[in-house]
Amino acid sequence: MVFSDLDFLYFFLPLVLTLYFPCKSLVWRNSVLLVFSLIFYAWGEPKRIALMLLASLVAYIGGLLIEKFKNEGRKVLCRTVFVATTVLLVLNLFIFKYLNFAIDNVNLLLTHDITIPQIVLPIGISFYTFQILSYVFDLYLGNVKVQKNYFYLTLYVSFFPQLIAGPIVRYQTVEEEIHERSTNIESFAHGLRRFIRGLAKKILLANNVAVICETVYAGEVQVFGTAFYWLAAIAYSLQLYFDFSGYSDMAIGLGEIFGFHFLENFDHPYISCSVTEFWRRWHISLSTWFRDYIYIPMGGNRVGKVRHIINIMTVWALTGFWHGAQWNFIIWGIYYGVLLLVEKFLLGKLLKKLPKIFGWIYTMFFVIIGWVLFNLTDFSKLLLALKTMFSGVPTNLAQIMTTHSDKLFELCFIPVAILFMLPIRKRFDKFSGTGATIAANLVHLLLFAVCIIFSISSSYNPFIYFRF
Amino acid sequence: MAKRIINAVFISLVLIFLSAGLLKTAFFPNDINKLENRKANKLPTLSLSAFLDGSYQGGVRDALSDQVFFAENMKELYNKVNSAFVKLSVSSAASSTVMSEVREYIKVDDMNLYGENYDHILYNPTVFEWVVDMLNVNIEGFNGIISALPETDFYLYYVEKETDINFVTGEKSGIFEYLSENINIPAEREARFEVSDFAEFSKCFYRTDHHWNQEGSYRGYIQLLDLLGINEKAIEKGEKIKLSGSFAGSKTQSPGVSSFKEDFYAYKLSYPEMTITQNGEETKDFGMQSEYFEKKADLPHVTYGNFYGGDMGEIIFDTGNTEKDSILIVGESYDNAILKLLASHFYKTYSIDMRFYNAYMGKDFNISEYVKQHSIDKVLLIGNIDFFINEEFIPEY
Repeated sequence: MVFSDLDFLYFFLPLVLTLYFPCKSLVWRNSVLLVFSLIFYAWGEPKRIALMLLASLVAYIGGLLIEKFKNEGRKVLCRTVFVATTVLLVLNLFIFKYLNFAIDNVNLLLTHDITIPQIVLPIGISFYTFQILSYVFDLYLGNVKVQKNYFYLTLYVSFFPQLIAGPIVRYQTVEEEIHERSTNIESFAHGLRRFIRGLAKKILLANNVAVICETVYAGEVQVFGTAFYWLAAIAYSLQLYFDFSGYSDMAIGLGEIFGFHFLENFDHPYISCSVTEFWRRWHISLSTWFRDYIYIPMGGNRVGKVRHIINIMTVWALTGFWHGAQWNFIIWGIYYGVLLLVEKFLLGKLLKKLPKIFGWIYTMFFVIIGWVLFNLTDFSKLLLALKTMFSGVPTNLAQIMTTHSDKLFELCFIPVAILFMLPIRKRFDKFSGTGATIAANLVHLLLFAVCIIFSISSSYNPFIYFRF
Repeated sequence: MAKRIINAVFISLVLIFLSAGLLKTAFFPNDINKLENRKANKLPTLSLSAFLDGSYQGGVRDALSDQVFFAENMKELYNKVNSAFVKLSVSSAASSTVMSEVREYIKVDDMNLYGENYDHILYNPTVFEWVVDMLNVNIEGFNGIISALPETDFYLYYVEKETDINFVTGEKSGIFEYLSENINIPAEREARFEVSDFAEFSKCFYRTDHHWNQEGSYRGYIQLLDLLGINEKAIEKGEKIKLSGSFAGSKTQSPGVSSFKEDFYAYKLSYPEMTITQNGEETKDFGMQSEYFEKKADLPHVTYGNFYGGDMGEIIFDTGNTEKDSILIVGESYDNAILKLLASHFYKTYSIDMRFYNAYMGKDFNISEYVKQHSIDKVLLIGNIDFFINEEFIPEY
């Protein structure tokens, strides 16, 4: 179930809200959230829910032991439990996400024929594993208190707004709000408006521009040519942003409705004037996770130049690998590692001196190419797409008109998406009177109605996080 | 305070809308999805196995899609907007210099648009190899019937349409030739309504519906008189009258072309007196031709089915003229437009649509028994390609 599905909007959401708000005590409210979060996950992964509960249990027991040994001053044991817990959690992720990939590559390299059953990736495993790890790391580092209630830890892990597509919420962020939070009409309305905006990003913009990208990549190169391959790359860049940031908006909005305050995950990344800036604005929860739990513990930039380069490349290869068990993701991660190094050691100062438009064009060029690497997991298709984008293949417009005239509707969403990737909404934040509230609510009601129409009428609602 | 009230109203509106959709789906579901002319999906029964295999979740989604408030209106609006974009796109494509050089089909969803203004909705041409196995099944079935009734004269009439020809290449499907060669009916008792080019097709078929229009069906009637060896004078065409300027045929159910419309014309025909029995009950008429010509109040939108008569299990036309033969017509909706015309030349005309016979009559249809019971002289097998590739059209014998 995803937030843009009818079963979430008409079935799950009314039920959880109806049962949550009449509860006066926080214990009951948390119980409702936990039960519904487990139902939410089981709705799409009925057989894999045990895996998530088990991972939470490992973190729970590990956490209690870390705390116990820490209090007793038994550092070695504390460290051993920390390492063991981390290994178990990473192993769980490895088996379910990367084992098939690893075996395939071993077979390829050593011409062996090791066969194991095809393991289906459980939805959201990368997100919830990283969340659990953040709890274990922060507990070990003393940044958070131990959670003595297994159900509360499970609530943190499984909390449905952020469960299957992030943002990666650290335990630190919600530690206090699990035990004490308040919600009122204003925060509910604010959260609901945020949810509706996210829904619109996903249903109206992402789903429609996705059709353009899919149509081009499903067709023949000789028909679409270079121009449409660039259009497809742009369409995918827009799809990914509006899908992912829309989902984050919905998660943050839902969190706010229930009194939780998640950190922002996107900050208009497509206005960035350097790749470094882009990564400060894109999937912030993942970048900061890698920065705080991998890059800094490795020494960060407080090491020699060579080690610094190794640190950056390691973190970016891992970032790429986190996105999927395919070589193209690793290449995509390394691609960004190289770009960031180039900016850090060569281009950074120059980019600051140049007019912003040059920086923006440079950034968008590399980001769009990056998304082509990210999108096409089949290497032959990837190479063909990149070759087509740079080899001036003419477009057969007549053929496109005869076979794809029905895509004009979706095509019209591309300029709209480009408009809304700019921070135009921030301009309206300065209005705060009663009139502004009425206007904002009316606009959101209208937007919600349009989203419902699209959700009911269009069967196309891709879920692109299945490999995360 | 004012803000608080405004926000409370905002939240309430959203929640009431969503909750009302859930309550309606759970407690007041519709039986029919009128937009798509099918049974509406309802909430499935929850069971552990259904939940584990995901079918319950899929069922909930399908039920909500059919049952929530305004679901059909929303889908209709979406389809109309989508179709308006298609029209805009197609009209600009049609007028472009690029397209003036190639007269290809323009694909919209699973349909094609063709014609000078690209306003004819066409199904894809049939690929013979894809249907030959299904053709063989029906041929075997029909041959079984023919051999079981050696005393009865069988006739074959095949209605070609856009699926039998690619208008761009002129290539034909060869279905009629194959039927003619393999069905055990003498060549002089076989005929087809031939579509050889787009100009002919556009005269004889609706732009938005899959049936033949007044021109096509009348031509078919004349051909059938000849095929069936009827030497009487045909019923005159009569005046051609426009009954609607906004007829949207069956093909407009495809979302991308849902806003396409056309004029609906019909010939005002004078039929002789006859009694008509539909599904075992005597009725005033088959179809509502006279009502539409008289422009009676409260008539439904004119459609092929409403005007000529819808699909029935059994229709019996009785002119009372015992001097004439009786005929059994086994077919599908294409014959609805000409049943009364043909019946005018027979004593009794029995029309059977195998798809609906059992449902309406509450029993199976056995052609051997039926022919003997009603002393039928001639049997006409009539239909378009669907009739000859779907097993459900083969009667027991």
